[in-house]
Amino acid sequence: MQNIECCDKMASTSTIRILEDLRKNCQEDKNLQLFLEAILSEEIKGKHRWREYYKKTLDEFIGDWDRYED
Amino acid sequence: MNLLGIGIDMRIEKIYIKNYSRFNEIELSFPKNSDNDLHFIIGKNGSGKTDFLNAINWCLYETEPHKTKRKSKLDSKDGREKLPRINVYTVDSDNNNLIVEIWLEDNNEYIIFHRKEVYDVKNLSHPIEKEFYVDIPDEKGNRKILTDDDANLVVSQYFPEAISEYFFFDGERLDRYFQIATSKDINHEIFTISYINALEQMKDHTELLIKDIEKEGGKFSANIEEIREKQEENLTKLEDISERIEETNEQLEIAKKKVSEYHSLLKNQLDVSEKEKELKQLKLHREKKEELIKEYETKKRRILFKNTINMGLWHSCKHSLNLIEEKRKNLELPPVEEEIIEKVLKHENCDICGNPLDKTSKKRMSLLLEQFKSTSKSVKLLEPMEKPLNKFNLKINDFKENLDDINNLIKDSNNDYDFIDSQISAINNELGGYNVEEIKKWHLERNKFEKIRDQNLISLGHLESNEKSLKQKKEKLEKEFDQALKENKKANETRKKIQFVNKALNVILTSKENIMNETRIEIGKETNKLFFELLWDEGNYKKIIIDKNYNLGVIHEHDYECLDDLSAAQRELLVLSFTLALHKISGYEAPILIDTPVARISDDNRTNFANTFLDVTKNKQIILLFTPNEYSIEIKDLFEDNVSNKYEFKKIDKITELGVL
Repeated sequence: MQNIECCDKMASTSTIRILEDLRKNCQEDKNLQLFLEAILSEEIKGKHRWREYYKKTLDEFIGDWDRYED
Repeated sequence: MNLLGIGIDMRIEKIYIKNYSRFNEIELSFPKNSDNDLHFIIGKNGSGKTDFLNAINWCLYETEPHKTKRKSKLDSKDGREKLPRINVYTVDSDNNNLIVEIWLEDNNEYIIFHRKEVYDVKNLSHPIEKEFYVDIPDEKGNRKILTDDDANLVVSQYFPEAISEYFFFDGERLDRYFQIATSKDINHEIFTISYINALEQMKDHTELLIKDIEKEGGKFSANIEEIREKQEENLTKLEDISERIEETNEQLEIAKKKVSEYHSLLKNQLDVSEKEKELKQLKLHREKKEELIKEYETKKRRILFKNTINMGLWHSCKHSLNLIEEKRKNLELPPVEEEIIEKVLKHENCDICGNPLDKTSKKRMSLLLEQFKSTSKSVKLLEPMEKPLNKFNLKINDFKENLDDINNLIKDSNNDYDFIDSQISAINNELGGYNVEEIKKWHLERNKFEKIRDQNLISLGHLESNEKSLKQKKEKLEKEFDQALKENKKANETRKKIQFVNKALNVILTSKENIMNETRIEIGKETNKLFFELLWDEGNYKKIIIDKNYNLGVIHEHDYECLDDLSAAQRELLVLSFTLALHKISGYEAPILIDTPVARISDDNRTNFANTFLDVTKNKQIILLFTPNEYSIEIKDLFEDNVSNKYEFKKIDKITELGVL
């Protein structure tokens, strides 16, 4: 969220709405929520090497593996 | 406040222009002096109104979208290849700066957008120096100057270029909105202002991330790699189909708009093609009638010629038959056999009763014989003529009947000919009041776009069916891929990553859909509310609808779509309502500047339309650029007490001068 708060005025206004919706659809999956918030803030900033960032973020937030066991 | 949370309430406080195009140095302030934040600039065509619009665009985006018209006009007049941006009539070595500044007021703070170019007076085609900055207060209230990307970022916060046409536009855009706007453009604008673009990017990048992870997974076994390749191949096909569906939808949209545009043009026009078809048939019919009349007349001549002698003899024949008839009445016919009387006289005995003739009888018989002898000669001549004369008479009667028949046919055909001729004249008169060639062209164009629309609808059906099959195959391959990963213990982590990112992708897609729908529904509700609030005569309209492609529609009280029935004024009002709704819902409560707002509206509705500005400007700044013709007495009276301030552009010696009214 820190990144998002630093963004321009309108972006923060719009992203609040987007964030709320993403959170709602994550159904309390904290890892998923954090992953989405992180990549959203990166997209809002717009200046990034997305591939590296997404991969790095995925590795950081995927922690809770048990959730995905069959 | 908007759907997304916070709103931006801003207004233009001042615009400063120096040496731009035909301007020397002017400063226009726009203070809110009344309940209505409404400001006028009045100027004749060519006085600098469009230059003013361009100056604002140039200051913010370094573009001059309305320049073409002005330039081409001047090109033909002055024969110049390109007109420099700087005012060629005022520039000199001491006055070689071109500056446009926009002072924006946002919550009692000023933000100044400043763009400058410096020219060498010997070469005015290109500036020798450029400058752009935004002067903005920081958190502590101190001023700071932002340049380059930082300055452009501020511009995009306040006036995103993608939707600049919804802030600064000429009246023509209002009028032609339904013809020029395509769903792709509108969606793009909505995506930009609602930051749905960010979600779109997230979606694209997440999909690519999944592909990357799947590639890693393919390294675990040949079987996994084989399924992955199949997946990739299928995905390429699916992307291709999706692209084609998008293109087809765009084409369909354009064709639908074009059909609607020509339908609207043809709404109050005569169906000339149909009339011409009718005319062609009537002319053909008339031609046939003419030939038939000629044929009948030839036939009549032939009958007359054939019966010329009969006609000459007809009176004699008639006379002879009358004579025979008379003779018959007089019992002269059939002629008495004289020999019988002579025999009776000779034997002095009657052959009929057998009695002898007395003197008196004998005398009478002798007298009778004398009389018979005197007439029987002519009667005997007449008797054999009767049969041929009757035959001849029948022939004459037949001829008369034939002649009557043919005369009747000629008469009827002439009447038909005259009737067809009068119909042709009526259609010609009717067509005379229309620009037939243009209307025919419109018909052809409409038919052409109807065909394109129908072809695209068929293509779309095929493509969507293919897409469905490919999606089913995608699901099947995904399951196969997941199963293959599951069966390979080394690929466990990769499998979990794919599951995780797929889950993220689904959330992104759901959120994107939600936000798009909510934004559209809110804009639709607001457009509907504003349109019916501002509409001077609700007429028979029930509601405004906005479909998922942001196509505006109007529903009649009898539940059919009736956008084409709207007058020019109502159409402009609908687009204005949509624009205002877009501003409100998106949070961009920006000022609106419209060049020639009522030029395309009929006199009857100008006052009505102008009235709507009074309502709107209680909450929003509007700057209108009128021509003196548009600024009629009625409009002047209406606004006199409500307008905050009025300026006038006057062209004096090729320079636009500013006057305060």
